[in-house]
Amino acid sequence: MSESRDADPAAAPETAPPAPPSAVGPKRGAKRRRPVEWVLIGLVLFYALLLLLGPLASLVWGAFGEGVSRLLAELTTPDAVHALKLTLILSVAATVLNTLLGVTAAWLFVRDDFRGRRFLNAIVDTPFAVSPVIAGFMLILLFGRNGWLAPLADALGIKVVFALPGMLLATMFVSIPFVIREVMPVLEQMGTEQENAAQTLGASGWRTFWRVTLPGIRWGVLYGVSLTFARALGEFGALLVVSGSISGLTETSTLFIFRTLDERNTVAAYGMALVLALLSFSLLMVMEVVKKRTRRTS
Amino acid sequence: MTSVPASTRVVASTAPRPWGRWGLRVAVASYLGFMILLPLAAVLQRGFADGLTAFWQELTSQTAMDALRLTLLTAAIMAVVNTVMGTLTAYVLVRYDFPGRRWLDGLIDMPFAIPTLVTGVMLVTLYGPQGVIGGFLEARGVSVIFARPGIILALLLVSYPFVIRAVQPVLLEAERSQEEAAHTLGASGWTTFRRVVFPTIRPAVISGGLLAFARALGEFGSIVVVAGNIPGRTLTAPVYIFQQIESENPRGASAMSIILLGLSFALLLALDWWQQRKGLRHV
Amino acid sequence: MSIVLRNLVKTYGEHTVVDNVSLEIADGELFVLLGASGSGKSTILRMIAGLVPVDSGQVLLHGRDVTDLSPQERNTGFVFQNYSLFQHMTVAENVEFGLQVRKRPQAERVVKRDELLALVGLAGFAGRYPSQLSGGQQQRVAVARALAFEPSVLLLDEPFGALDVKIRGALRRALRDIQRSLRVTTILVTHDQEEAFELADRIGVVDHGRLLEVGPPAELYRRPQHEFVATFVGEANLLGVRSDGGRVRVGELTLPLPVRLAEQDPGIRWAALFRPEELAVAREREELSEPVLGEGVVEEVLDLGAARRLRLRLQPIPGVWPLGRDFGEAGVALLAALPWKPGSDLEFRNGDRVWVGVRGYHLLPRLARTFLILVDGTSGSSEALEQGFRLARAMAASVTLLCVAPTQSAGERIVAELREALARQKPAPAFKLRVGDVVEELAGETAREAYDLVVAPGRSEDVKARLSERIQSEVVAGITSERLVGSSPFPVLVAHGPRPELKRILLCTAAGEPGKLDVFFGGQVARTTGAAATLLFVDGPAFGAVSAEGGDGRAPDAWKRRFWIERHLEQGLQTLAAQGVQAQVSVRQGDALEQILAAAQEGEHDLIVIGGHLVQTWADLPERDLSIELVARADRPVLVVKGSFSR
Repeated sequence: MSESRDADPAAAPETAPPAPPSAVGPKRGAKRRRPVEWVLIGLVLFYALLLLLGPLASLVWGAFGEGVSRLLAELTTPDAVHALKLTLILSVAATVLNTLLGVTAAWLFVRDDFRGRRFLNAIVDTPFAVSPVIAGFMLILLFGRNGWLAPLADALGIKVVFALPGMLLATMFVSIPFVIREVMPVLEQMGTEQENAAQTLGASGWRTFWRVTLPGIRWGVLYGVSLTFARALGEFGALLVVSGSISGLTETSTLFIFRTLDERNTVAAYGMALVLALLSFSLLMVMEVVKKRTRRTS
Repeated sequence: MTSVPASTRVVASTAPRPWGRWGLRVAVASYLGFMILLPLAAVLQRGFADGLTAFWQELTSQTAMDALRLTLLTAAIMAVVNTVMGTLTAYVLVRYDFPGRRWLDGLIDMPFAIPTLVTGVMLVTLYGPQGVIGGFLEARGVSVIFARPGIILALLLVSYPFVIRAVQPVLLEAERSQEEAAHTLGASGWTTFRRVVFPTIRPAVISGGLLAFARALGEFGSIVVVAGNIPGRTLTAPVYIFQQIESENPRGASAMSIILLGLSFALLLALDWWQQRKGLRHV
Repeated sequence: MSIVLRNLVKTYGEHTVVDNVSLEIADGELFVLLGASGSGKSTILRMIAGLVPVDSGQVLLHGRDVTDLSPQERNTGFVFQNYSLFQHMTVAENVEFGLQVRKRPQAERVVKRDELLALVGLAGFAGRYPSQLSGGQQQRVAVARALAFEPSVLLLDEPFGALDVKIRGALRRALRDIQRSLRVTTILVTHDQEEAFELADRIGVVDHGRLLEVGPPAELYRRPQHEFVATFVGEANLLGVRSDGGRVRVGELTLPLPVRLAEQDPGIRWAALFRPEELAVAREREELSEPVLGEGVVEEVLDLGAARRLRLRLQPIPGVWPLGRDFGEAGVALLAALPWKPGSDLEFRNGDRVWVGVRGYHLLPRLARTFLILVDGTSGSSEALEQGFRLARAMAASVTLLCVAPTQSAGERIVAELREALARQKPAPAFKLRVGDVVEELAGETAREAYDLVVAPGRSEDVKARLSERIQSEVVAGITSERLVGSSPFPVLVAHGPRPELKRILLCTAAGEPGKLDVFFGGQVARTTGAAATLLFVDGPAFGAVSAEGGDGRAPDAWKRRFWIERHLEQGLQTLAAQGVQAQVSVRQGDALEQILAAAQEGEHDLIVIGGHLVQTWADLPERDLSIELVARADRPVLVVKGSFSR
């Protein structure tokens, strides 16, 4: 008696499972894609590689090119540390001031009505249109020799140009619009119902703002703060003009990069550039998180 | 400019006490006035202080004219290239799915976040004579950095996101079925894009391109690193201003500043006016 | 034939949206694809137009295979639900678009455009922009645009879905007129059965990606072949009934089966369909000239002006269970329509006792199945759920979960957890909660309701590890599974062990007869899941007894045994082939139980199917139920096919 008629299951277990009745003809991939699509995708990826990823990778390569210890040595020189510190101090100060005044301005533009409101609202965006070099130049014209505000500064005993106050003003100027432009739409969207409710419950104006308005716009404020800080961190043109670039005194990180590049100290320049890039990237990530949060809460 | 519906304004009865509100108004007005209006006025005053003739002479000097021409030319080339590539990038990001799509989408914002000086440094490391690509090109007699192509490259990088971020939301909102309808009617992919997709995104493409152009006029940080800043060849208008300040010629710096500011403002105002008109017609 | 679809399939990941759809549509026909939203009907249409690539199968337009062509090359006119007019073009530019890309001369374009705009009743609107038109007007433009370049077929995807009811009616008539005058072959997709009936030459009903039935509207209404079609097209009273020698009994009624249905497999259950207008209602039995269905109570009177409808409830009828909405309720709920007779004073009120007669009926095979999945909170339950739902999806069965717990609170917790865990599971299950012993509660449930399959938890790996071998088979399988299999009147799937896939099925005919229920059921599983089937025959002591019984008491000769086995397997293969399943065959020698286990192990089978009902019929065999022993020993899912499909 034969073991098996067709196939012994042990020898040939289901070599060819019968095709289900549906499988007629070759399987045509669901992701069938025309060559044009591949060309377009390839073109975009190539462009982004040349423009974004390539230079970024190249900077990292350049910074580490002569070893980690060399890089660390260059970044821990007194000049480098001072420059980084100064950048952070200026950025924090400019961000704090611009946030306080910016939130106030946004609140007035949205909630208040007064003569000149439209005009002020319109000029808020101008720093976006002004080249940073011009921004620095304008401050020199105001506070430099024969400047309109020079007598005032002299009377107060403050040195503005080629000193920290001028640098702070320059940093503030270039980052004015961010907080205002991020907070205004959030305020508008929020409406006045909650504020009115708080006031009918007896809360004072200040208390209403602090307990109701500010929590409502906090993600908008945070987003504006991140943008302001990122912009302040990287400011270069205006500072170059207004600071005088005295190393160890008025030299910020960007100015440090500019000087070391000029002195052909590429490791120091690339290293500091990498530090700034990393700082900016972390801010970018914070902003992504904030963006997601705002989307969820709205 | 943002217009605010009247309904979101606080009613008088629930507003803070009048003096408090006036205090806030004065604070904001002086903040913006002091920070923005006063500096602008100072430039105007300085530029025209010695009369129109002097202003004109400063502007028509050979170096100034060359710098302005170079700035406009490079910005225009950049605007054209980035309008095409930006539109393409936005289309590919929205319509196709491919490995690395989300990743690319995140990377697009990089030029907005990273200081322009750093982007300039980045370009030097790759395209400079010591860089991988730069060295390769140099050996074949093509210089990028310290030459005009470097300026264009820097502008391309710093303004890459403008068109993309303007077009992307419009494409996302546009109905996919319009493209499908065109396909069933027999239109090829290119015809569909030209006749159906592009007309809907055209306003966004144009405004993105113009914003990028306006931004490029004032670009300084990246250009000062990548361009050799040789007068007449690779000296752009913002760098020209910087050099005039350094060489103690505030009149020359003011004249060029006024021209650049005027160009930027005119562009942005025109864009604003055009967008509002478009908006009204759609409503 | 204008449009021919052959075995179209489309899957997105795990989800099959279009499942083996074949269809032929004649020249000039207006065909309507009718189905609920998400049934896959739009995907079929988009595959015809080339907007969705085909996974497998063919699309032929006027004899030309267009399966691999782009939408541009297919020459189909497509109308979208949201109109999809080009907003930046005028009406004229929209309508001319298709001609323009075909580079037709200007003069021709203008003539064609004006002709079509006149046809859709929009002459004089050529210069307008879409935003200046109403929704109905926009859709007319869309129709004109799709027809302007004289497409080979016209495809409309829910074209009236976004419009309000009044405009919809007018547009429907307009479309019908246009289609008749141009004689263009048309497919329209809709979920609105009224729309389908008004427009269609023929209707195809789509459900879960399958084209269930195709026919003229009246045919689908009067003689549907699927329960889904019966209830989706018009209102239906559907009663589950059993057949008895070529007839169906519904209470006092005896309904003869149509000849072509009577020849089908006896295991199929039947549904009797009575449309509301086929029921007659009277106060006295004598008033009815029609055959009588039974006596009941009026629960609700619905006056619709032209006709009155009565909601009735009849006393429970033995052997009959109502299908559909009132499933599980006491008695038989019916909907009857009474024609309006002028001058008639026949008034019914709620609570009136009435007699119900039958003017007409239709019998259809009950293909829709109901599975019962038993969940007792042990870890094996998750395997029962996984395997039960997988089979239910493949066999288009609905699922009832029977949760049995020792206490009410524990049971409620299990049900709550399951509801959350299965929130997105398809099919959406019904829940039943019982407190008490698993086997007793299952016995009670299966006595009340008919199921096509009971899915029970097997022993799970972690329980197995904790118990000694003897206790293991006794406590977990020996007692619970054995009692379950023994007490269930329906087929039982014991879900032993996790099985991520169902690819290979082992059909054991060693102890059963081919062509009977186990092979039939196993074949259905193989066909619907696409799994490979192996038909196993074990030649051993048990078979020796079998063939000895049929002979003269002597041990059977070798040639006789061989002949018997050959015939036996041939019949089995034929049964499977009739179901569209190509099976492999395997013959092994030795003890039936050991050989089945070994074959399953070697062939890596995901499911063992065995008949549980026939062993006992051989009176002179020892008291040995192979299926129960198999359940106790197997390390993989076992499907014991027993009982009959009907109660």
